[in-house]
Parts: sequence; structure tokens; C-alpha cells
Amino acid sequence: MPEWTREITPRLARLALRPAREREIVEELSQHLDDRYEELRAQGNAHAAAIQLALSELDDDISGGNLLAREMLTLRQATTPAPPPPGAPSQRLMADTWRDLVYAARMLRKSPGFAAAAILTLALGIGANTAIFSLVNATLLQRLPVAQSDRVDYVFNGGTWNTLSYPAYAVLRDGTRAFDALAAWGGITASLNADGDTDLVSGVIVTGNFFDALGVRAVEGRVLGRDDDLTPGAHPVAVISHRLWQSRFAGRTDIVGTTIHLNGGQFTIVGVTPANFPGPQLGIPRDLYVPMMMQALMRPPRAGYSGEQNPDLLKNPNNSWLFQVGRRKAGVSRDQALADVVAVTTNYLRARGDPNARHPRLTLEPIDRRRSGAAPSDAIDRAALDGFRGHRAAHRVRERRQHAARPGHRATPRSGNQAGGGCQSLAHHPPGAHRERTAVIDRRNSGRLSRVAHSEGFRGGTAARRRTADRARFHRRSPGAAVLAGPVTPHRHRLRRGAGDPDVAPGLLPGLKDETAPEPRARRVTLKKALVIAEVALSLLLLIAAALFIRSLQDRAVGRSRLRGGRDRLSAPERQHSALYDGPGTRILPASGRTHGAVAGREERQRRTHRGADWRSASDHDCRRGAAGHRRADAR
Amino acid sequence: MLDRELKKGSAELLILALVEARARHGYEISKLIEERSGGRLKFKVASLYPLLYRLEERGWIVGRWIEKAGERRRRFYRLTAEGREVLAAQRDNWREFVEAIQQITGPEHA
Repeated sequence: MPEWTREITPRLARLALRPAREREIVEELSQHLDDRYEELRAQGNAHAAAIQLALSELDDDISGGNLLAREMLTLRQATTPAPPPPGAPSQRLMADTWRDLVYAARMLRKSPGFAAAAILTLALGIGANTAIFSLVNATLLQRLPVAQSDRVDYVFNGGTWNTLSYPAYAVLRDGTRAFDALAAWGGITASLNADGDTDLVSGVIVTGNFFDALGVRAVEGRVLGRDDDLTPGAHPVAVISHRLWQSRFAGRTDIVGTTIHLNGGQFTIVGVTPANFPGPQLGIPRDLYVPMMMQALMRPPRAGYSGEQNPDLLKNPNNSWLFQVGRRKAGVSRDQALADVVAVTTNYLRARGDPNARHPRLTLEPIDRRRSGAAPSDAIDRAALDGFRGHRAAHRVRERRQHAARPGHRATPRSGNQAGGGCQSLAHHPPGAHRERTAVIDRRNSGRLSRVAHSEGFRGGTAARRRTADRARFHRRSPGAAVLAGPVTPHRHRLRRGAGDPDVAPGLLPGLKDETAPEPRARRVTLKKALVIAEVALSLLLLIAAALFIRSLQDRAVGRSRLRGGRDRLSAPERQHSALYDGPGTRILPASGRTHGAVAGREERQRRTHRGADWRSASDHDCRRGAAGHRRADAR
Repeated sequence: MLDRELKKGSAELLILALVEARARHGYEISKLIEERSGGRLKFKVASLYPLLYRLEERGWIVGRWIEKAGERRRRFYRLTAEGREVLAAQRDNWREFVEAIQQITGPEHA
């Protein structure tokens, strides 16, 4: 038979056929020419003449040109460029992407189990990563938009985020000379009624110098000022967040001067804060700002805040509920400011006869170094702690205190049990734990811890104890949230500790806290990238693990199905092998009068004989097994 | 031999009609056209197969390699559902066309 390929292939060369498709066409046309050649030979044509006549089918009778190529030139398959070889740079990005997507869809449809596992894995991975990254971004990477933030510090009573009473704040505010403005705020949840609708709004009740201390200006109207903080109950004005302005009031232009009702009282909106200002704490967005003098209405004891039995919080030195933030005067260092507030505090405690006057502790934390919002596990806790108040955790608090009071105790997270990390971290942060830039007069023994935990007024011991107890109960009852909080807790813990601590990972702490870091912004970007890379790597790892798992399941399933002996699933050599065994069975069984039988290999035969059976007595069950050594032969 | 353009215009209809009943390979289609037309219609390889490929690209027919015992594998073409609709429409059109031509070109009756 003539070799037609050499004649056809050159005629197709000018077309952009894919190699596989070209081979198919050549094969198909060759068969046609073979048939045509035999037909011509049968008609009496000589070999050469038959070839010549057959080849004339490929060319134009009139011009003698390449008719085949001309006819095929209008086909899509003849104009589709060949795909680039593996590894070659893509020439048509969109087309290749589409092809990849189609291929991926076909593969997923072909393996629904793998597809489901992959999609589920990706969904879980992306969801978890997004949640963690959002949390880290909100609490560790963002900064408050505060003017001249290097001069703005949080001032804590004792440990970080410890509160103090309003009278104590007033003493500090009036007594210190290190600050241009020392402001205080407390969290509130208010019932907002406007335009006939009522909503619960998270906000803060602030002193008149709050916005001065932070250096935040209004985008609409004005912010609260010192004139709004003079007489109790006489300043029914409010500032709302940009978010609330847009969502609740649809960004109406006449928002300034609008009358609203907060907790039943009539207020007037006087301004709107900038869109990028979430409130004094990152991670806890606030939508409402009301003057401190409206405390009786905006933060009454009946609202359920712990330890506030006296409705007049502005005069009660035993209810600690305020956080402080101060703007240092130009030229005043943080150490100088700390010494100043410690001196004022000491005098105040002495005047009250407080035994803690010998060991006052205050903490100044820079607002742009320290993550101002709650640390990750704090954020998780605070988001889910509502309604978890109670006294059962007092026992837990005592345990923590005893643990912290052991000789040689270090504020280091215990190894293992990361699920309880949030709880551990809090347990290792009693008021007596060593902190950076914390004035500690006496660090000697556990008695100090006990006094701190029980001190009131300036110490904020009640609130701290209650928060710790709540977190302990929360983590016991919500292991899921504890697992989430666990991985991030050690980092939060380290961030709170001194830069000289050998346990602190190099490169991590400086970018987030240590003021000696030369380029904190660059460090933050690096951390961001590292987080993204880690999340992507984790997702890929999960995906690969899922793929391997599904693959192993599929292999097992395929192995079982092949053992069942389905002939359609056999490969070509296996089919030939099977036919070889079927032949004798087909011929012998009718003669023997049996309807079923099997042919076994020598080894299988020996095994069966040894077992007391031969091929003719093989049961249906044995026949159906269809293992490699014996094939079923149905009587036809 | 029929006019080349006339043959071209009817080629699609011929192929669709031939693969309507059952799947056929290219050489079989070619021979059937030649036999049923009494040798007046012939398709060269260079015309037949590009036409088959075009009909396949349109989705009117679909080709599949089939291997029979003792034979080489061959590519058989069968009509698709869409091709069946196209065939019905083309048959109607062709019938109307032929009737119109006959009415015009037929002998005039007194």
C-alpha cells in the first residue's frame, strides 16, 4: 500500500492545525486514498496509475493547486494556533486563562469528590485566613489617625487597659503638668431614636478635651469641646461617626443640628468625625460621642456595667470605668510624663489613706507604637463576652493570682494547650506583671499582687478581676473561640513585654512596638507580607493534603472495581488475556452440562486443589470474583 | 457531471441526508453519493473532508473513531439533533426551490 502520509502532510503544512488533529486528518485521508487505490486497482489500473489517480483527489483539476489546503483554510481548526509548549511564556493571556479554567472545570466535574474536598478546603482556608488576617490587620497593623501621634499616650492605671474613676481622673488632669490635654472616655451602648426608628449604638462618653488630646477634627460641624463638659446634665449634644452618618442618616447634608433621642433624652448632633477615625481604640469602632457631663443619662447603673452601684459616677471614687489618653507637651519625654503622673497619683492615694500609695503603678503606652485596640484575643473575647458576666470565675481569678505569686514566676505563656492561650495570656498579666515603661515602686512579692487585685478606686481591681474571670469562663465554654484566640495570644503577650526579653522573636516586636525600630512602617509592611505568604502557604498545604487524601480514596475504589472483573474496565491486553481464558470455558462447559465454570492458573489451581476444590466446582461467588488468576466464563 | 456551483450548494444537504439513518465514514459517503447519483455527482477527497469538518464544527454532525474487529479504526460521522433540524429545513428549502425551478423551466401548457 502506498505511503500517503508523505503526500498529505506537506499539503496541510500551511495550515495551523494542532499536531494531534493533523495526525487524525492524515490518517483519515490516508484510509480514503487506500480505499480509492484498491478500487482503482480493482478496475484494472496499474500501480503507478492508481496512485496518480488517487492523489489527484487532493488537488484542483483545473489549476492543479493544493485544493485540500484551500478548502480547509476556512475552518476554525485550521486557523487555531497551536498551544505553547509547557513552560513557554504565554502569548495570549486571556485565551490561555480561559482554556485553563475550562480544563479545571472539566477535571473538577470528572472528580466530584476531589472537587468537593478542594472547594471545601479552599473555603475553610480562605475563610479562616481572612478572619485571622482581618483581626490582625485591625488590631496590629492599623493606626489611629491622630495628629502628632508621637506625643499621644494612653495612660493606664496599673496594667494596660486598666481603668480608673472619674474623681481620680480629675485629680490627674488637674495635677499633671506634663500634658497639654489629658482626656478620659468610657464605653457606652445607647438607644438611638431618630426618624421613628430605634437602634442600639456603640459609643463613648468623653471628656471635653478628648478630641483635643487626639487631635481629631470634624468633617461636618464641630467636635466636642471643653465648653460641652462643664455642668452635669446640661450638654445634650453628640458627635456621630462618619459610618453612622452614612448608614443611619444616609449622609444627609443637614446632619448638623439634627435632633435625636439617646436613651430617651433629646440630643443635638453637632458634628461628624472623619471616616478613618474608628474611635479611641482600634478594633472597637465607636459611632457616638457624648459629653462626660451627660453620664447620668448615658451611662446609668441600670445599664448593667459592673460595679457601678452609684448613679453619680462623676463623684464616686470607687467605680473605675474610664480610660485615659493624653497629649504630652512639646519637649516632655514619656519618662518625664510618667514620673509626673506617678507623683500626682501618689499624693492622691496618700490623701485618701490608700495603702497603695507606697507603690503606685501607672503605664504610659504610645498610641502609635502599641496597638491601641485590644490585642487579638482581647478583640475576640470582647466581641463574644456580652452576657458572660458572673461571679463563678472568682475561683479562677484566685488560681491565677496564686500562680502569678509563685517565686520565680515569669510572665511567659505556658507551653502546650494553645487552645487556652487567651486565658493563659490574661492569667499571666496580673497587675503586678513587669511591663515596659511602667513605674513600679515595689515588685518584691506576691503580697503586692494581692493588694493590687483588691485595690479600688485608682487601681481598678474590680473591673480587671471581673474581666479576667469572664474570659476564663468564656474560654471554658467556648473552646472554638479559644482555639482562634490561642495562636495569636503568645504574640500579643510578647508584644506587651519588654524589648529586652530573649523570648521575643527578633524582627517581630520592633516593628510593632519597640520605639527603637528604625523604620516601623517598613517593618509593618514586611509583617503584612509574611502573613499573606504564610496564609497562602497554609492554603496550598491544605489543598495538597486534601488532594492526596482523595487520590488515595479513589485508588482504593478503582482497585475494588477492577477486582469485580468488569470487562469494560479492562485494558486491551487484559481483554485479550480474558478472551484466552474464555475460549476453553465456552467450549467445555456445554459439553459438561454445567452452566458456570472458571479457568484457574496453575498456582490458583494448586491452591484450590489443596483446598479440596477444582475449577469445575468453583462456586458462583468464586467466579464472580474474577481475580487475575481465573476469569468468569458464562455459558452462552 | 453536474455544474460545480450547483453541486457545492447541495453538498451539505447530501451529506446530512446520508448520515441521517446511520453513522458512515468518509469513503462510504463518497461512494454513496457517486452511486446514487449514477456517477453524475462525485466529491474529491479535498472537497469532501473539509466539508465534513465544517459540518462538524457547526455541530450538525459528529465524528468518532470506531474500531471494528479485524479492521483499522475509522472515523464515522453521525447526525446530531441540531443537524437533524437543519436537514429538515434544508430538505424543505430544496423541495421548494426545485418546484419553483420546475414551474419556471417546465414546458408551457397551451
